[in-house]
Amino acid sequence: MSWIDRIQQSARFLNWLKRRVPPARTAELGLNNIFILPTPEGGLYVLAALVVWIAGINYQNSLMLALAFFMLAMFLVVMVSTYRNLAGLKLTIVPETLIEVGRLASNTLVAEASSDRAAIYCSYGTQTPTLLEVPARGQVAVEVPIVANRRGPHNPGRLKLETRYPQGLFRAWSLIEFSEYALAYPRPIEGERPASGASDQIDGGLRIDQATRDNKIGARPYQDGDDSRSIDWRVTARFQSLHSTEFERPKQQTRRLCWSDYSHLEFEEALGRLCFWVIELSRLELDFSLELPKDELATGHGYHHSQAALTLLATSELGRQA
Amino acid sequence: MMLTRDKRLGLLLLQAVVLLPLWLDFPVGVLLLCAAAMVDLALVSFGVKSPLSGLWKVAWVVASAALLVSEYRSLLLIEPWVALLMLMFASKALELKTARDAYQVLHLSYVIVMAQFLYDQSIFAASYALFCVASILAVSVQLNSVSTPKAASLIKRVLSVIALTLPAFILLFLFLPRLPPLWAVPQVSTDARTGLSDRLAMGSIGRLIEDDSLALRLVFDEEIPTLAIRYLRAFTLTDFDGRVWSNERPTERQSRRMPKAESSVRAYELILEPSSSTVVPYLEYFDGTYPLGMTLGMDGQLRSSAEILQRTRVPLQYGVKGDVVGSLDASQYERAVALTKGGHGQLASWVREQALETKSVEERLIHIRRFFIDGGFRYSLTPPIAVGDPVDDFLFSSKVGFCEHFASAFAVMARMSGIPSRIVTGYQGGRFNPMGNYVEFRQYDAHAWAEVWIDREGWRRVDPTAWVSPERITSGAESLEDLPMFFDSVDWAWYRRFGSDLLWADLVLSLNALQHYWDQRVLNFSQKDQTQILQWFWPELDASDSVHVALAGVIVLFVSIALLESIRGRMNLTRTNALRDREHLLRGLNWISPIHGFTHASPLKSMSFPNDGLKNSWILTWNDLVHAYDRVHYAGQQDEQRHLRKALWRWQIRAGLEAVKRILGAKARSGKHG
Repeated sequence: MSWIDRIQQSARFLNWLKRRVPPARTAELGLNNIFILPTPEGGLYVLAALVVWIAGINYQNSLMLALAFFMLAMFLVVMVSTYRNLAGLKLTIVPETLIEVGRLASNTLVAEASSDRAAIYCSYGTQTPTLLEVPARGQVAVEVPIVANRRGPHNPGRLKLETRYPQGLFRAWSLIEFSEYALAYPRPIEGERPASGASDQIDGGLRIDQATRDNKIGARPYQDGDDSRSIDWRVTARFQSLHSTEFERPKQQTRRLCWSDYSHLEFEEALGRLCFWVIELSRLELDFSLELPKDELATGHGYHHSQAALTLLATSELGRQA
Repeated sequence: MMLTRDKRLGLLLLQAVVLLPLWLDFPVGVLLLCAAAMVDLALVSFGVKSPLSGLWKVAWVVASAALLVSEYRSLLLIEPWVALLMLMFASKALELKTARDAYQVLHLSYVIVMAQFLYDQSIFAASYALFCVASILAVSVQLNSVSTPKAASLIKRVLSVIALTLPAFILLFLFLPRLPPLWAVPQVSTDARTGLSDRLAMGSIGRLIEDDSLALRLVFDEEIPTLAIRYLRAFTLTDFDGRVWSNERPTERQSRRMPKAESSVRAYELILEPSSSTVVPYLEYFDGTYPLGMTLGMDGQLRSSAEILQRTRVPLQYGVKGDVVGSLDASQYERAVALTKGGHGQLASWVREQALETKSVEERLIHIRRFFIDGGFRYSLTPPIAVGDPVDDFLFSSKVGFCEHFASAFAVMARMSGIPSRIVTGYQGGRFNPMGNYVEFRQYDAHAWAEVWIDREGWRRVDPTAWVSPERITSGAESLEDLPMFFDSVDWAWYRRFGSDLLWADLVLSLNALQHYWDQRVLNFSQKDQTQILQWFWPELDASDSVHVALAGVIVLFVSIALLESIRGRMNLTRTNALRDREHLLRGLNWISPIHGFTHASPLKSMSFPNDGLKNSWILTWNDLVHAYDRVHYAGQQDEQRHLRKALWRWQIRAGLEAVKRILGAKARSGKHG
């Protein structure tokens, strides 16, 4: 770990940075928030310029001196052009709303610039950097990997944008914190679902699901999360907008997911088990309800229902985690 | 990070580009070894298994070492070091794998470009070096690119870097101090040219006629002396062994002659190209003031204390012939009339026949002149090879020769008839370049003439070539019919033939003038010039201030770049008035209460103030301002805009003062505790 990294991880630096570059929805890179230092290659370049300069002095050779001065002046210009590769970049982060603890997810970074930018690497912490290149007057979205280590709002820390372009003699970087976070729900833990109601075995559910596939009861406007196979093309053609087939749903097949069923387990593990079933039941498009110590979700199904369930799992009793 | 094929090929091309000018100056073995390493890299880049793998690489290194040892026996010259550098540079091609290797190639490239300047400092060499630097830049951009950049954008980027570099570069070049050499360095062997020599055998100047390289230039303040009197003397040769003229006692010092009256003396500047000699040519006649570090010999040779290894500027004067001081002493007289015993039999009998001894000195000279004019002599640069005694053969058989034959034969004739004489070699004629306002002399302007000693007058110049071929003296070397066809002289002949409207002749003149300007202003740029430029801006400055000027200049340059950058940033941000006012509001708040860290995204209305001792008056002011802000920007009360702006400035100033007070207070408290 280089001394620069050590400084950058010190609390004093981070506090200073928080004041200087406060978290925001969008960021524009400029003199305020770009750092720049020579790379080791830049140091060697200066050494080469020094050799040329001394040779110029000893041979009293004007052109050698000119070359040394040119190299020196160019060093300064390269500093400006490396800085310019970052400066003026407008950044917006579009975080993934829900991510799973421990699984690789990504935030979408939207970058905009008036002139073209090349070879910028963005990363959170020690994650693999993502390449960002923006054409002139263009807008580009890239996925920056994030991994949440714990449940709840996930602050991935500062996004680091780094570039050595164009000459590799300088490294310019910026540390940006965005004010929008993703929510991390617990890692699903596979396991048997304790029976908390009559006749709600999952196998039965599966069969019912298959059986009701053919049992159309009508069509409704398409919603996010609807299975594309379920689109009713005839109705869609008639109304000129997407419609999904509505199947008959076995209303009595409601499943109740309750944390108290797992009271013998640790709370976090219980949440993991519940999470597994929330995902599983959502996949099977079955109705379920969710009960947590302080929150409760009424019976329902569909994309929004499962998102609401995962949000509850992510935020419930965060205090207990520690 | 492994290098892609494109990047390797780019680096390979760069190596070839920067090594190209040096290969011409080095043994073919160096070329072959460098080429072997680079071909190896090219093949590897195209997926062929490396022909120079394992032991072959070792063999390559051994061969390089052997070549250096066998080719160069001494390390006192720079050549073995440059050859070593070239081989090391080329050897990177054998091990070009990672980005680190690539950067080593890039940085060494600059050192190789520097080495080019050891051998050639012309404007063309400098242009090529700039091309090399551009290539290095292009390859380093390519190296740092993820996708292969388009040629057009690459060129644009490189040109913009060079264009931005120029202002800072010019500042540094003009004002960074020029230091004297820090330590002695191995010298370059091929820098200095031979030019004229301190010995004259028949045919030695003929050799120079083939050489069109620049010998020296004269820059005059006032009117330029006419071509026929532009005699630049360099060597004085008194001792003749029957074949070769030489100077056995070149270092006798001469006391200074009395300076002439001011009006008859004209100043000029001599710009001497490097030569392996210490003799400085100067324009006859000479009034006797010369720069420090030079000596004027008894024989009229002006010598510098060391070999002239660099282009040198010598301020000199010329004027009418000075007064004679003293006379020939016995030993000098002996040398000036000495003849080889029994030599030149034919000439001796001719002198006896003509009974020259009985005539006065002037009559004798006239008689000899008649002999040359009426004798059927012809001027030619390709005379037949002499048979037997060269003087007799020339005077009585072939009668074909050029300046050194005429001068040499004349001097021997003069001695035979009892007149002390000697040979002077130097340059004659030269060409005035109206575009550069100087007279240039090239090696083919080399000339030899004679001098005879006349009592009460001193040494008098006699140029027998002018008797036989007056156009050589009045029109310069170009007038000669059988001049070898080489580039420069032919242009000049055209120029004379077709007049100045010939485009080509103009082009050559401009190029020569450009080279002259280059030599004067760039290559010979000295501390003196630096001081001049400084004082042109600011008369009180001197050379010791130049480093401050350079640094101040570069700092000013970069501060202005930073300012422009920040202005550009502000302009890019399409800030509405609302946004700016909002920033001002929040800035003040952050100063008063920094712990909240309100951001630009914080909603103003819903901002609640935790009870942290924020004074009530602040909160009231804040609420007023937020209301005013809403009225102006959301209720369409544009006429209040000015009031709001003023109020916001007051707000920020008060908040700033509050922040200062708080910081000082904190300091004072911590001081008390301490």
